[in-house]
Amino acid sequence: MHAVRQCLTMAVITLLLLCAGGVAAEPVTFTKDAPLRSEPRFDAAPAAQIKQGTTGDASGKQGPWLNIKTSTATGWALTTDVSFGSGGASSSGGASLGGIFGKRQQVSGTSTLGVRGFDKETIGTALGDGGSVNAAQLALLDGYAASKDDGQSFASGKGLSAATVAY
Amino acid sequence: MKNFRLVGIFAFAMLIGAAHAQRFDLNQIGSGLKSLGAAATGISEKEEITIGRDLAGRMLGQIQLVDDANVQAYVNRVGRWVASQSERPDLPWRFGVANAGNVNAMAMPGGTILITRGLYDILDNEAQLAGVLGHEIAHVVKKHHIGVMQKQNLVSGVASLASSRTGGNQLQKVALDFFKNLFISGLDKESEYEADAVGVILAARAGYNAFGLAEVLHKLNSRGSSDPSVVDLFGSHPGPSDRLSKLGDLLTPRLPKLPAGIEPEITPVAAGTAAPARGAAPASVPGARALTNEGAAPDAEPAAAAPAQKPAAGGAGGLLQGVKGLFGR
Repeated sequence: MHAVRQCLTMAVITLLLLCAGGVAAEPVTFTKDAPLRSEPRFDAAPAAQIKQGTTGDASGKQGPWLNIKTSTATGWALTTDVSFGSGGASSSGGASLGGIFGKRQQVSGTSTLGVRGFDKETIGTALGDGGSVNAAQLALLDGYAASKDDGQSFASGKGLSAATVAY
Repeated sequence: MKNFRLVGIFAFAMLIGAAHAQRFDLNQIGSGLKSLGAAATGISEKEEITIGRDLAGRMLGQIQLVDDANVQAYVNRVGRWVASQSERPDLPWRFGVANAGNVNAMAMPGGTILITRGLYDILDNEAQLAGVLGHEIAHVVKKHHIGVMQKQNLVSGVASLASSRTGGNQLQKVALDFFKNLFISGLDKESEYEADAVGVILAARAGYNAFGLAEVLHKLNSRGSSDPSVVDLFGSHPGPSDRLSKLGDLLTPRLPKLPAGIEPEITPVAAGTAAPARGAAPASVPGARALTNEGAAPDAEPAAAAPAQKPAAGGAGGLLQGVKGLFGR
């Protein structure tokens, strides 16, 4: 009886830990030699220098930084320093990596088979002999348009402020 | 009348002659932008807008806008804010989410941009949307399509048609064929890399995390192993991994000067909104008509009024050809 209770307790703890974790780790491979930093900042001390081809697991992100654990170190790497998957395959099966980058809304994947899209056939028809302009849709598009002031007001409401960044 | 106007635009553009192909160089983006006017001479801004609206109207003749006014207005505000950070802030920018199931986006000359619902639905936050829109805005800002028009050596054929009695209709067909082929096969790789580079800087200027586009590219890259439809895209466009690599080369050394940027939540398409249709594409749809019957293209700031019309009823479906020409417009 005691053993059963212990098992149940362990199962509940495991379940809680899984739920608390929230994000399933995604395997990553470093695409270049890059530092793994101790904090998600460019000026944070490197926790380790990682070689191209090293694999690890990404378990979360902050801005452009991915929290990655390799076999020898844990730290933060830029999202452009890695590819998802180890040897080509992502554990998400080619889904949307929503577990890492945020709350995934919807995964299309193969469920879009047979669904109309902006594809070769549609473009060919639209700009071919059988195509024509849908003026009602263009009018609708105009109605949705935002002015420069609309954009500015929207940005202010979101806490977005323009910054000077050179090309 | 506008058909002939479009004809005239193309005839003139093609008679200008071939422009020099420019290799992409990150360090030359700034100087390249400064010389935009000279590089794309021959087509006025108003003519660009006319061409772009005609093309967008034809695409929307096949697949209509997602019937969610809230999302459409939201995308226009994000897009307009990002476009306002560019060198062409005063274009009559238009952004639409089309009810298309695949992952794609198209930038038309003059500032009309359509993204598919299939793409919109995989975005996790507004910084990713800003990155995608920034890429498309960059195509317009850099006048990539106009540049290809100038590079095409169709001068003799167009001149011959222009002088013939029935040249007008044939010239319009030449123009539409040109864009059809361009939209299907995509722009050259250098233009795509350049649009990535310009787009992420525009997103950063707008206050977003500059790596939003990189995250979207990761999503596409991870699809490669399990989604066969991506094979076509990888065959005709730069692969997401190459684009990620170039973005890393661009952004990593700039980190000390890049604003941190934020990632606001994205507004999802409302539950219950009609999903993309299935089936065969219609040759034409109810309510569709030629641009010749439509009012003049806008060249001023839009009124902020909410749309009163509902999308025209669309025909039934088509056959998905998968992820094709992604960001390659």
